[in-house]
Order: sequence, then structure tokens, then C-alpha cells
Amino acid sequence: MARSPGVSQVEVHHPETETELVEVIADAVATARPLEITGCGSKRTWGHTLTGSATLSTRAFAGIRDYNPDELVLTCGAGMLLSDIEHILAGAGQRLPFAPGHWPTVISQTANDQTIGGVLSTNLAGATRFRRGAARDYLLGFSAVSGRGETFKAGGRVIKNVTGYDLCKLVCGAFGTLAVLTEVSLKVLPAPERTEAFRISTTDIDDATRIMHLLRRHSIDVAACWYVPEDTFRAWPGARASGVAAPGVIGVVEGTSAGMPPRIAQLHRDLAAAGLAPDFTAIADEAPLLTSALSALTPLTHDFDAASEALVRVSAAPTDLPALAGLASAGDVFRSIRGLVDCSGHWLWLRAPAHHLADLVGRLRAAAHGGDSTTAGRAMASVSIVHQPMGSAVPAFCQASPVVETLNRRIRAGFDPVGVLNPGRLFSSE
Amino acid sequence: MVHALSAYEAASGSPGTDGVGVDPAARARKQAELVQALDGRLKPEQLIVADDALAPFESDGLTAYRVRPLATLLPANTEEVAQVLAVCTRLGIPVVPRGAGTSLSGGALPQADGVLLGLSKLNRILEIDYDNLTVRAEAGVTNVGITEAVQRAGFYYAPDPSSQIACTIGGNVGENSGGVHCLKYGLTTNNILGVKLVTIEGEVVEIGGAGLDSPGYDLLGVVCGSEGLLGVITEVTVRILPKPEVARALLLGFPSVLDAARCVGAIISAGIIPAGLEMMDALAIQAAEAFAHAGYPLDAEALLIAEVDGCATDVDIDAEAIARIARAHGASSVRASTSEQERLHFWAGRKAAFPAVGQISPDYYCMDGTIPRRQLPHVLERMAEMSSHYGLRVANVFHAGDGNLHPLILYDANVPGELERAEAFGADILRLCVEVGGVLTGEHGVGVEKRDLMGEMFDDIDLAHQQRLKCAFDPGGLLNPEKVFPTLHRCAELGRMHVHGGRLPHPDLPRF
Repeated sequence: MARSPGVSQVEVHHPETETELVEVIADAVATARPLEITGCGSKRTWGHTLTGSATLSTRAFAGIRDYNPDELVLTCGAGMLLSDIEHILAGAGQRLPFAPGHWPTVISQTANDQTIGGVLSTNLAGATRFRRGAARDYLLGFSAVSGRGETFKAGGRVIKNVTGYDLCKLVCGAFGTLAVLTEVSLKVLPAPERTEAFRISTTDIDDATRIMHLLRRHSIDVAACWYVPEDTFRAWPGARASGVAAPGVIGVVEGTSAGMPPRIAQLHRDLAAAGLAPDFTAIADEAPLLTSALSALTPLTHDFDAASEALVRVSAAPTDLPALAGLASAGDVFRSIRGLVDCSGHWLWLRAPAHHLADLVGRLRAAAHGGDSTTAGRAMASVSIVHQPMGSAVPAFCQASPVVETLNRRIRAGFDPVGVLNPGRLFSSE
Repeated sequence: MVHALSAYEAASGSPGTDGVGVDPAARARKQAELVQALDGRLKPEQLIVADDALAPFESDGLTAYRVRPLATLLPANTEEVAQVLAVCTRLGIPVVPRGAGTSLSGGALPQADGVLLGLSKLNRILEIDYDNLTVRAEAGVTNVGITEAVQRAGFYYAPDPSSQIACTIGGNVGENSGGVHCLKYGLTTNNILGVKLVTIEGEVVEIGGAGLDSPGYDLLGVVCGSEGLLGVITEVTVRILPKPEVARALLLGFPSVLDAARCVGAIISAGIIPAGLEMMDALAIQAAEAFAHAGYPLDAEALLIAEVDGCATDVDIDAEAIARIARAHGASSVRASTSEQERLHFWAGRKAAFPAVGQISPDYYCMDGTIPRRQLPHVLERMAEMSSHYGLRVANVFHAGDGNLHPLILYDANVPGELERAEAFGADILRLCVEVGGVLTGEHGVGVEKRDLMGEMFDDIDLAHQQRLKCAFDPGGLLNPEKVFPTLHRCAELGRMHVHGGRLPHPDLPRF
């Protein structure tokens, strides 16, 4: 690992063992030089991107360590590719229950896959998050090297474990700022025998909201639902081919093949009884294509220009989302913004030209934090910029309350006192 | 575990307690200081210092251990909790939070020089939101109380620990409680959206929120399961679910534990995740049947109780498949419930397993560990050997779906040495769990009971990383100080960096 002082070249480290990884981090600590942790680099623009730092690749930490389908636990290297994991699980009729979205590789200009370490570090989830949870709900244990240059482990390889603090939750969504994961153990579940979908036509967000309320509350488990508004639908050339023939609410149901027809029929009946399904269309065979398109956020990402556009995710209680959607489309300035309601009404994705980003996010955050922002009160929503062009510097994450900010800072200092792991990635004040 | 108690009792508390735990005069002085500092903020009935009134608070569900606290305080709302904690911080008095005191690991065992902070007066349900499917409740609301508040509307709160009629939602968050249905529906940590927490300094903070995502670290995730060491929870926002259309239970008897264990693996391999999947061994079956008369097969060496729920068609399909798989694995009896009443009846024996065992033995010690499920036959065999060695019987109840084992060690506290033998037997079982690739505790928590076994699972560096979390929330170590971690380090010490290969960080900086 030759280093030439005075020559500004970006070093790339590819440690192949835990010992080498410890060495790289210890070196970074001793010289106070930051490291950008990368797997495939597909989510580099989510959070504040480091520029000019040395890179530390996790790719050598790959491969399955242990997989017992009937124990529902898979242990693998943190640098293992998501597509490889999904393929192996599918071979045993299983899947990652949190169905991580594939959209990062669609909008990334450089990466065509993701590592499981990156998926966990960003707490990536899918449209079923409301019912099935996110990555953080399925990490059972891990080994890592912290920003102190120390190897440590947490959790275990079993599903029921409350021994000590739940550090698995801490590293999920930490964006690599606490430790570099080397090995992870995941809870996996059987993949459903059958997936089917349905569409209810509507171009009115209040109508869509009422429909999604019913779907969320229904005793028939609707795994996920989305609302594709009219302007997003019109701008999506692949809509019909994906089974979406008109704007409206789309729902997905998973389970046994035999159980599907009565469940879909029951939903149709109950929606009709509530006066909410003037045009209910079952989508049977195109359902996998449809869910794949929505996992990639295709309605918004199909012609995405990463160099001039931004992608924002608003996360709120379903009853608060429509007002925020209204803000995002209000006035002349925001006519160029396209949206998609995801995750059974909990997420609003917004695609915006980069020059509107600061204004858009400013308005949304002001509404989300209005009234309670100076106290320990709860914010109404979390507004996160999952992609903005390189060089665009709008704060990617919301400010938390002062007490929470203090806790975050202390935790960071405990695990990475010198601040070498992805400094500034999560907290813009670094 | 006995030596844990001796050390605990012998210690006069955290450093600087001036002998408060052992010296009556010092104790009385400290009590007076506390009462004065509280300055009338709590009503008299909320401030308990009389010895006889403190007796009910000396123990939680781990009844072999009793410690009288300095005082028991019963705040009625978040504001009072904050005031109490601020006072305790100022006076350097440790605090042990307590919900209903049903902990089986001594998590709410008081400190002799500390305050026992009871949350039972925070017992209101604050908000039910059927549109967003959440309930916001004060920490002292019982687990079943949340379900009861929403069941007429057709909803329920899924995590159902067996103490649910008594245990509080705040305690559930502290322990990350599970229950029979957590294989399908997750633990407490998978079913909450937010908490209101008071820090040891008395600051009130909202963690999590109405939406699914919050900026920064997953503090909600680390607070859940933190056993009262990071802060005092005063409110919890939980997710409620629509009641499934149908639920059906199956009673499956097997001639051997091995057959039953193989059946469990086959059910999961078939792609079925039952809502519940429990196993009982012969001694547990006999005790439960004598107590509850649920119709358990007394000739079976192992009994599986499986439950499936969902829409009617899927339940029919899954129940039929489970019965078929059971027969293919040598089941000696297969019964499916045909009514809601019968379903509840099937569960009656399992739900009464602990009191049932209490009928066949003067005392019992309930263990909690998790193992990889394929290790079950081996672990049961080793436990039978230990049972001979210690001369104590053991009945087994097992969350078969997720590998969480509850061995019930039968003993008589009145026989000299039996309590100690039971504890030694228990410690050996937990070491065995870790040895076969499992963990020390699946749902009861570490508390004081398993504290000194933490080294079986984690090395010093692992534990130091965990304790840095503690340093972020409670650097003074006043919250539940004697629980979970066997060796406490000062936070300044934990903050120091190691020297690697002779290099100090920032070698060019002058050092004084």
C-alpha cells in the first residue's frame, strides 16, 4: 500500500482478510485520513458523498459461510452481491423478507449491483416495509471492524436473541459510520408460492388515500400498495407492459395459489361495498413483472438523469402524506416534479430537477417539523434525498432534535473517535 | 449464578454510596436527602420509604433474590418521571425502572442504595389511530390491555409474552419481549414505531415517530431490549394488526423428540411459517395435562402445538399440509381444532405449563436460551445427563419454530443446597446453548441472572463496544447499574484509543 506524500492520488484498499482490514483502519486512524467505505458504490450519492478520500472496498468479504434453509438463517460475507444472495435463496424456495429495492442500481451511473453490507448499512427496504419490515428487522448478528480498528461481533445466528444491546439495529442505517461489516447473519423466510396484483383506477389522491386505508386495515394481508398519479403514469412508457393500464392504486397479494382467487374476490367485494372500486382489474400473470418494475421505482426512474435530477423519499404516517404530496406539486415551480406513493401510503417518492431540490426539500421539511421543531416533539415526516447530482450539496437528511443529535454524536464518537469511517456521510456537521 | 447474588448483596452499591446499603443510619440520611430534594413534587402515596411498604418491591419474577431499595417512587406521568430522574442524577442515586415486575431474570431487582422507579401509574391509553394502525400508550399499560382496547374494532397487538395479562408495554420494550406468535409476527422491536424516553438527566426525548424512518441512528432499535440501562420509557407507539380471518391449532403427539424435531424442520422446509409452533417434552406434557386437562396425549414423548392463521383457504391448506407432514414423521396422534373454543382449549395446557410444573414441584427455575433447532436432540440428551449429575428433574417447553428453549428445573428450596444446584444446572445449560452455536437468552433478558455468563458469548472487546452505547446515554452509570454487564468500565477509559504498532493517533500533536 504505497503512499506518495504530496501526490494527490486516491488510494483504493481491497483488504482480503480481517487482519488486513484492521491494518487499513488502524493506519487511517494513526494518520487521521478518512476512508470511504464502498461495496458496489450503488448508493454513493445517498447521503453526503465524500470526495478525495481513500476508498475501502468490502468486496473481498464475500461467499456463503453457513446456510440452513430449515433454520431460516443465512450467514455470508458482507461484501457478497445481493443478486448472488437472492439467487441462492430462490434455489431453496426462500427470499430476503424485506425485499430490498433494486432502484439504486437503476439510477447509479457506475454500479450494476449492491452488496448486502450496503443494503444493511442504508437500511434498504421494499414496498412491503409496512408489513414485513426493513433490513434492520432481519439482521441477526454480524462481525465487523469498528472505527477504533478493533474486531468485534454482536448478535448471533439465531432468531430469538436478546443478549446484550441490539447492535444489529445500530449498524443498519448507520451508512458505514460506526464499523465496517465483514460477516452478517440474516433471517430468511420462504418465498410465497404465488404473487398476484390488482389495480383500481383513480386520478385523485384523496380517493387513493381512502383506498389504501382500506387495504391496510383489511384482514386479507395486502403485502404492499402504491398510488401511481396521472402525470407519472403518462410519462412512463413501460406502464402497460408492466400491467398498469391506467393511473390508480396498485395492490399486491402473496400466498398460496389456491387461496388467491377467494382473497382477490373478497378485496374486490369489500372495496365495492365501501364505494371505492369503480374499476377494479385483477393482474395475475404480469404481477411478477409489475412488482419488479416497482422495486426498481421504474415509474420514476426509467429515464432518470443522475447528472441533473434528484430523487427524494418522504416518509410519514399515511394520513399526513397527502398534504405533503400537495406541497410537492403546488404552484408553477413544482409542475416538473413527479411523484409515486409507495409502501401502502407510508412513502412518497419525488423526482425533481436538481435546481428545484433545495426549495422542494426546504418546504417539505418546514411542514414536517412545523410547530414542534424546537422541542423534543415528533417530526411529522422524515425527508431524505436518496440521490442528488455530485456537487449538489442540499442536506441529505433531516435535522433531529437536539437531544437525539447529542446521542448520535456520542455514539459515533464511541465507535469511531477519530472519525475515519465515512465522515460527513450521515451528519453534515462533520 | 449464586456468586452473582453474593457479590451483589455484599457490595454496598456503586462507588460513593457511603455505606447506604448496609448502615441503617446512612440509609435514613439518604432517604431524608431524597425526600427533601423531591420537595413535594410527588404525593405522599407516591413516595415509599417505610420498610414494610417496600417489601412488595424487593423482588421481581426471579423470586429467589430480594433486595430492599432505598425508596420506591411511583410517578404518575412523564413530567414526574423527568423530575425524579433529575433529582437522582443530582444526588448520585442509582435508579432501577420497573413495569409490573414480571421479569424472570432479575431486571427489576432493586439496588439497596437506589431508587426503584415504578411506572405502574402511567397506565393510560393515549391515542388509538385506526387509519395509521397505531396505538400510543403510557408505559404502564399492560400488553393485553392494548389488544383489549382495539379488539372490538377487529385489531390486536401481536407480541404476546405469556405474562401478557400483567406485564407492561414499557417492560416489553425494555426486554424486547417475544411470545408464542413471534415466529410469524416478530418481537416487540419489530412491532413498535416510537417511544418517549426520559434520559437519566431528566430530558424527555421522542425516539422514532409516526413514519417508518427517522434520521440518524436507530435509537429505537437499541433502546428496545436495553433492559432499563439506557433510559426510562414513559410512552410507546405500537403497530396494531387486523385480526386474521381464521385461526386453527393442531395437537401432534410423537413417540420421540427426534421425530418431533424433524417434523418441525420439514414444516419449515415446506414453506409454511406457522403463527405458533411449540414443543413440550414428556414431563411437561404430564404436568400440563394434570393441571389443565386439555386432552394432551400422555403416551407421547414430545408434543407439538402448531397454529396457523390467515384467510380460510390458506389456513385449510396449511393445516392439512402440517397434518400430512406430521404423519409422515411418525406422529402417534394428530388432532386439529374445529372451533375457536377448541383452539383455545388446545393451548390451555401450554399456557399453563409454568404453574402446572409448579404443582409437581415445590419450586422450579425457568431457564431461557436459544439454540439452532437442529441441535435440539443433542441438547436434550446433554440436559438428561446433567439432570442425573445434579439429581434434579427438568421439564422442557420449547418455542420450536425459533429455537428458544425453556428448561424448567425442578427443585425444593427447603432442601439445603438444592437452590445452588439448580442454579449451577441452569448455568451449565446456558453454556451449552452457546457451545452449540446459540445464545444465552432468547426473551427473558440477561438482568442479574445471566450477567456473569456474558463472557461465554462475548469477549472483552465485544462487551466494550456494547458499553460505549451506555456511555452515550448514561455515562454516570446510574440506570440499573448492576445488570447485564459483568465488568463495568469508566466511560473515560472506554474512550481511550489503543496504540497500534507503536503508533499514536495524530503523532504530530503535542501531548501533555
